[in-house]
Amino acid sequence: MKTGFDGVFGVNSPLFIFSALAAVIVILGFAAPLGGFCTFIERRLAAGFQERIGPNRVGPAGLFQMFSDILKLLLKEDTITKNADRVIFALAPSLVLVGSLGAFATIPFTNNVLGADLDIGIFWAMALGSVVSLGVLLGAWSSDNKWSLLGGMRGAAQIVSFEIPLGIAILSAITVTGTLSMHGIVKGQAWITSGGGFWNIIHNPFLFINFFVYFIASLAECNRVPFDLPEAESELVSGFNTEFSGFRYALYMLGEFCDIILFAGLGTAVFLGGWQLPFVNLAELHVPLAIAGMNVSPLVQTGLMGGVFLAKMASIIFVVMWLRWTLPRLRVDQLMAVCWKYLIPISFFNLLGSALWVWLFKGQSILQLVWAWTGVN
Amino acid sequence: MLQEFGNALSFIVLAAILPPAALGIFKFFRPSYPHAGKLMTYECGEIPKGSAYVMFNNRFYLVAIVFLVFDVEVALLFPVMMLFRDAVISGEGATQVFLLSFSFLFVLLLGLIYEWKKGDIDWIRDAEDRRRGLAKDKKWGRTLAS
Repeated sequence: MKTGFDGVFGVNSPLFIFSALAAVIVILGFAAPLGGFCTFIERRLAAGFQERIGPNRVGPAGLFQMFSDILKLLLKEDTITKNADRVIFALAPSLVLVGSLGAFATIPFTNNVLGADLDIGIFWAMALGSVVSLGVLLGAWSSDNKWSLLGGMRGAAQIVSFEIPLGIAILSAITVTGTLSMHGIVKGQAWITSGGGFWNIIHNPFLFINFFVYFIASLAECNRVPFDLPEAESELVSGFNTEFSGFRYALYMLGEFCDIILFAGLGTAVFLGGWQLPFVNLAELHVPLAIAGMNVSPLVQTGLMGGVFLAKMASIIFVVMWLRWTLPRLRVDQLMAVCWKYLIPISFFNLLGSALWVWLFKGQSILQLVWAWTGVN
Repeated sequence: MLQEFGNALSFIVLAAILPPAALGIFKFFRPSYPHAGKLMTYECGEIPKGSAYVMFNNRFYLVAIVFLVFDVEVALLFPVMMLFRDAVISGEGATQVFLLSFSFLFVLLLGLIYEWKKGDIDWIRDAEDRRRGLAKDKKWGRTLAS
């Protein structure tokens, strides 16, 4: 985050850690509770879809449910079976969290509120998203249980296979954006009059299809329906988290929800235009408002941009949760066939198509071409 | 730039510290009455029989190998695709970039087609064997090589 303290707390200063911590605490203090809040939202939405009322007792309209859930799970006895590999058993849920929360660093909520404006932003996010499969596999292997092992192998095979269509879908968007930095990706999706090509999803028809490939692959990455075989309660006892109880189980679930939020955020930033709105460039908006003598325009801008980003992210998360109560679960061979026989060829073809489009039209989007053709300038 | 990586590292460090810290603090509030029954591996209520490290199907290995190849390809294509747009707009070298990267992609696509035809990405080989009309062993239902 551009805290403005780089002079005082720069890299060579011993107080450098505070500058880093400021960014971390703001964003993690937002991301991790958001993951917990999603568990509550999911239960309420599930109830809505099933024509009943979800948890509404704990706080005002049940809003404090996540705190009571986490408190309960923290106070449960922490049994680790005698034959389990204690070190790896303890390490595995942390890996899932490290993967999803570490990748949060590059999600561009607004112009300036960005954990770390890396030049390789999207690559970092994808790399850390891969660590989640390690957490699943190690947790399964270390709990000395046949069913955990089989469930974890299947889960890891699923997560790992679907990383390829995910990567290729993002690659196809990168051909269009020309930069790996998340900030740059969102900036390139500004409205036409501001020099951008508008949202990548409508940049060219190949990216439109690849957004859906990305969405399906991210469902499988997070073990969500219709790919939630690792979580299937009726098979393999409870999959890879059979032996995890209490807070360790909560860590896996929290990691999964943070993963959903992560992929929703990445999809918003890369395909749905991040904080960009049509017709108005929020980065250059000047609100002539002053409170107590201070120009609060940057604050309003930040609020608006953050609000737009969160609204888009929330709509993706809503669809993810909606699908859970709509679609049946895929069998494992159908799941693998979807990945290797359908998503990968489709995403390859769209990568080729997107690159050809960029080549032929010099990187212009459909909207830019229409704009130039109608001569409105 | 180093500052930014430092921020990103702090994210990872904090995310790594959070679970042990939470578990460690609440250790004083948690009950702990271990006894033999609780510490046994769960096997649907029965006493566990045999080692937990059962032999699993080698199709997991195949999936992992194929994934490895494709993931390395995706990772290697990232810088190429990033520079592709600049090459197109500045007008120099776009053809070379396109042809080289897509011939790389094409070779790997040929590999995928080979595996598809051989049945390596099928989860169950039954469908493939039935299609080929191979005989099945009457007692165990196994496909006989023929």
